[in-house]
Formats: sequence, C-alpha cells, structure tokens
Amino acid sequence: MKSSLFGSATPGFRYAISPHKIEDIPMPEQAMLFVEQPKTRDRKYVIKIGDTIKTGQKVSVFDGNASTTLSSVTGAVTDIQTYRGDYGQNYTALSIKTADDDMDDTIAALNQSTDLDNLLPFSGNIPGAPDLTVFKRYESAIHTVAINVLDDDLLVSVNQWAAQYQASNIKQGIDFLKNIKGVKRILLIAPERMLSVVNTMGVEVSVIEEIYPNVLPALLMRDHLDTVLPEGQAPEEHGITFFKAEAVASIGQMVSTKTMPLVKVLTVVKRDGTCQNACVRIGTPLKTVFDHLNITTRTGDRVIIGGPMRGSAVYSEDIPVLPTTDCVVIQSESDIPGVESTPCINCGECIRICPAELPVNVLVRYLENGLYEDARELCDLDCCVECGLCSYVCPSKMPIFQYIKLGKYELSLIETAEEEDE
Amino acid sequence: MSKAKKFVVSHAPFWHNGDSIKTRSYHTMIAALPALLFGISVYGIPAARVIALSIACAMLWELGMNYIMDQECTIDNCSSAVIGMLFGMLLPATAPWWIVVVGTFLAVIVGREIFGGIGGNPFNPVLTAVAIIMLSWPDMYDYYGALVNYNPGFSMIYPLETIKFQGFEAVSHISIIDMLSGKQAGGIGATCGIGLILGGTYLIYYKVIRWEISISFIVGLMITAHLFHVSDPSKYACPGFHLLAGYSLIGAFFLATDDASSPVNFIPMLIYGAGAGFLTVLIRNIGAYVDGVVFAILLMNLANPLIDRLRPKPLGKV
Repeated sequence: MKSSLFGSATPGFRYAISPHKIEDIPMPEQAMLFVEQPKTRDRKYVIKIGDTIKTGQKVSVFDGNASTTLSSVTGAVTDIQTYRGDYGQNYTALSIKTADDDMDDTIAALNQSTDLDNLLPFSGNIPGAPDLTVFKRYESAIHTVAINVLDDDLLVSVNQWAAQYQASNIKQGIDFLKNIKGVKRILLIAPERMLSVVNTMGVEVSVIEEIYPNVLPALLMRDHLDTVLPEGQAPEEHGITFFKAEAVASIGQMVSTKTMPLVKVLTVVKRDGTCQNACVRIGTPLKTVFDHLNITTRTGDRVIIGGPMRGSAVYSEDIPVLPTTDCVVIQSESDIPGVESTPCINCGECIRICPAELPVNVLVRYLENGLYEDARELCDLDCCVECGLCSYVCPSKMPIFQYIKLGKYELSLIETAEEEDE
Repeated sequence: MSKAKKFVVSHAPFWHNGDSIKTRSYHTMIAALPALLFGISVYGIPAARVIALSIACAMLWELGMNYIMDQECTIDNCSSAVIGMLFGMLLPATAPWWIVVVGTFLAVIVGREIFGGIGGNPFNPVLTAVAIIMLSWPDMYDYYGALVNYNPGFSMIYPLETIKFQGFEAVSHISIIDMLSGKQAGGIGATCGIGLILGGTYLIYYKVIRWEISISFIVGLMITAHLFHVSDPSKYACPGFHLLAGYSLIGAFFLATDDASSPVNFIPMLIYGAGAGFLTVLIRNIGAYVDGVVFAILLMNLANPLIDRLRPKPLGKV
C-alpha cells in the first residue's frame, strides 16, 4: 500500500470482500479473559488463582459492580496479570486452563424467557458485542436501529461473513430488535453486491457505497438517515443506535437456540496482505490462532488488533480474541511506515481527504503544542470522525490521528476533573 | 506474558500512502528540468554554473543552520535544493557568484529557517530573496545589462522592460510562438514557456501543486491584461504576451504554489491565484516595477492566512 515515485494510481480504499473459506480453530488449552479495570485505586481482588469458572458465568475481578465479564470457557484460573491498554485503560487478564464446557445457570435462564431483560447480561460479551443496554439507558427513546453489514475498517470481513452465512440468525435478531419498546425503524445498511442476501431479511435496506470511511457512524447518519450528528454527541442521543451484523446474528442465535454464542469469526491478515477468516472461541490467545494458521511472529513485527486504519497495535501475542475483536493484522518490520518529526508543510492533502471537512492543517498545529481547548473551539476537534485518512496521506508523516485522539482524551480528562470539582 | 518477542507498537493508521516531502521535492525538480535545460542550452556553462552554485549553497545554508541550531539534519528532504534551483532559474546567466551566495542565504535562512524551517515560512522563500535583491541591487535583474554579450541567434529582448518604456508596439514584431519557445531574454529558467507549461502539467498530474492556484493565477492575469489591452492597445500588451513574458509562468506553476505560503481550501486557492495574477498585471502596467510577479505573489502570501479562513463548515457543526 505505497505509491511509488512515478505511480499515479492511488491505493484502493474499498472495503474487503469476504473470503468463502473459513478455518476452524479448536478450543485452546489455555484461554484468557480480559476485564476492564476501574480507574479507582481502592479496590480488592475477589478472584484468585485456582478458582474455577463455568462457561457463561459472571466473573467479577474486584469487589463492587465494576469489572465483570461473562466467561466464554470453563476451567481453572492459573494466572492473573494486568495488561496496559491504550489511553491509560488497564485490563485484568485471567489465564484459564480450559476444560470441557460446563454451562452456567445464566444460560439456563434463557430457556425460560428471552426478553430484553434476560439478554442484558450478555451485552458486550457475545460475538460482535451488541450493546443492548442502550435500550435501558435511553429509556425507550431509541427509535431507529441501523444494522451495518460492512465492517468498520479495511480488510475486515466479519460482518459480511455473518450476513452471508448466518442470515437466519440475523433474521431472528431483527425480529427481536423490532419488538423492543420504542423501536420503530430497522435499517440494514449493505453494499450493492450483497442485496440478494439482505433483501430476504424483510426489512428496509439502504445501499452503501463501499468506499472507506463511509461506515463510520457520523457518515452513516448523514448518508442513510438524513441526520447530522452534532459534534461531541452520541447517535443514541438522537434516538439512533448502530449494531453490527455479527452482533445481530449473535442476538438471533441466543433467541432461537437459547444458548450463548461462544465462537467468533476473526479476519486474520497475514504478512503478505492476504486475508483469512477463522472461527475462534472467544478467549483464545492470538498466539494459538497464529499457530493454527502457520504464522510465526518475530521481534520487530507489528501485531494490530482491528483494521489497518483504526486498529490498535498490541505488544503481546498472548492477549485473547475478545467479543469486539474483528481482525488481527501482522505487519513485517520492513512494511511499517514510521512517523517523523517533520512539521506540517501545509500541502493540504489532509484537507482534501478529510470526510468531515476539518481544517486539519491548522488543527494539528494547535494539537502539537498542547492547545487542546483552542483546537476544540477554533478548529472543531470534536467533529473528527476518526477515520485516520489524514495520517495516511501526510507527506510529513505526522501522527495526526494520534494527536487528534490524544487531544480528545486530554479534553475528556479535563472535563472529568471539572465535574469532580463541582 | 511472553517477554521474548518485542513487537513494534504505534498509533493507527498502520498504512501510509508513501508520499513524502522528498518525493514532492524530486517531482518539483524533475518538472523544472525542461525549462532549465533550455536555459542552459541557450546561455551555456555560465547558466549551469549559477544553477549548480545556487543549489549547493542553498543546501549548505540549511545544513549550516541545522548545525548551529543543533537540530537533526534536514537537507535530505531536498526542499532547499528546490529553493536553490528555483532561485537560480530566476537569475540571469551572468549573475556574479556572490549574489548567488547572498541570495540563497536570504532565501533559505531569512526566508524560511528563521520562521521555523520547512512549513513555517509565511512568504515564498525564493521570492523573499528575489525581492530583497531587487530592492538592494536593482541592476542584478536588469536583463539588458546582464545579457548584453549574448548572441544566441534571436533578438535578445526583455519584453516587459521594452513595453514599459516604449509601449506595446515596440515589441509587436515578436510572435507568441517565439516567446513560447523561449526566444526572449530573461531568467535562466523563466523564458521557455513550453518547458514551464510541461513542468506545470507534470506537477498538477502528480498532485504536487494545486491546479486551482495555477489556473486561477493564469486566468486572473489574462483577464486583467485583456482589460488593459482593450483600453489602450498601443500601450498595454495583449494577455498572451503577459502570460509568456517575465516570471508569469514560473510564478504560476512553481512560485505561487509553494505549500506553506499558499492556501489549502478551494475558494481561498482561487482567490489567492486570481489575486496574484491581477496584481501582477497591475504592477507591470501602472506600477514602478518592470515585472510584478514577485511582489504580487508576496502580497498574496501576506493575505493567505486571512483568505484561508474561508473554509467549509465541518460535519456536525451546528
């Protein structure tokens, strides 16, 4: 994905097409659960090494209600460690020696009733991580559910796979969403080539042009729902929520089979850029996935969770496949484009590519100097849709996207501090 | 967790389109070659000497500045080489060595480095140097005096000066085709219209410069020149003449389009280009200077931060 000195072709920005072949990766011997740690310091571990966990069991790491997850495997905890993620977010990593699945009572409860309240605990813990709590948090104010059949980054084809091969589950999921109080409209957003599949699902379909970054929520709202998302607001505040096709399929599977979906589709992008989809139990460490696909990692490589434009690089291959993990990219040392300390030369490439029409050239000058509030007031920092295209085209190789995310993060810290003062 | 392998961690995006400042500099230099080679073929070794010294000096000044400021060496992005090359192209072939040394100092150090290096210059560095020299040593850009000993086989006329003092009729024997193919006196690389147009097209094709600026400059220049020409055809030159004489074409494609000192939004680019074209003709026809391109572009550079505030409303702004 580099243009040469005399090349005039711009690299493609079309979303990936799902490969038909899928590799089944068996249950790993050692699995791992990731639980977000609360930011507060006064906390006590309630879980200890040697505890056994059942599949579907609610696992609490600390006392109090924060930091829980639903286990996707059965087994004994062998190790507890802390993983440091991006922007100061820490995770507790529970290593689990897996055994045969032993279903917890939470799953049995599905047999009695599959209404919204029973499904809520599974929110975020099944493939695609559907956030069903929005329907409770916004108290029936959600009137439109948009289901996205394309994936939110390049090379990823998980949602397309779900739409192709789990159409019946998606149908069930749609029926479930339709019956939620307040929901009036369900909209499937799909590319033209998938119309034959999605038209059978019996809901309104809107055709999306497969050009990056059309899939980002603010752009979807503009193009398909005729609503402009005001800066700094969530779509839910306007009664709109977005679900991935895979998430809807998971909901559908829970409703129809009364079981918890534990296996997730994952796109693996190898060194040479070829993509392969794999069926993975949630909690499988990346290393196990790589071993099964005959990928060896070396020092100096880059391992990216998520896609090439918006993903996040990780420092360990022991971290697991999470319900939100759609893609893993391996990049060889020689393919990694570095960033440089050259200042902005004001060429305007970022201005022309920015889908939100931000004044990126001025914005980045404020951000570089830590003037985050000025960046928000004068250069509309909050309007950024976080597609990463500005960094992609920057001839100075500035980490513009990183500056933007850092700026937003620092502003959120200032806001939290101000709220605490009041 | 495994400590054996160390992966590279960095922020998204993980791809880059491969564009770099170096690539852009190389493209600019390649684009300047046709006009430059023509100049060297007409004026011979003295012209090559000026260009070579100019490029070398510009790069050495930047290297020296890097050294004094204790910064990492930045000459490998070749932006100073471009400055040196363009500065040389504006000089007459007989320019003395010291003016090249002083001129590149003015361009690289005064025009750019003291404002914070690449990207920080409010004015086009090349034109800053040319303007200072024009004011300090006006004889340096007197092409009649400089090129008096040359006899390249065509009439060595510097059209703008002749028009200024003798009216349009004095040069009416020079055809547009002659001017397009460079049969006129002028800067080493500024006379060959066809070469500059080729270079400009190349740069627009590779998206190194913006067509909005170049085209609006040319359109602004031609419309203004046309209005003058219509009002008094014996005194004021026709639009085609203005376009091909002096620094007009090199200004449209190589000078006005300098990244740091030109706007980036669509409408501001049009205003900037058209404004520079308009001022060029204004200075040429009723101003004190023979060629207005230098001051016209510098004036528009000055207005750039203001006009570039005309930008679209971002998505989500209410």
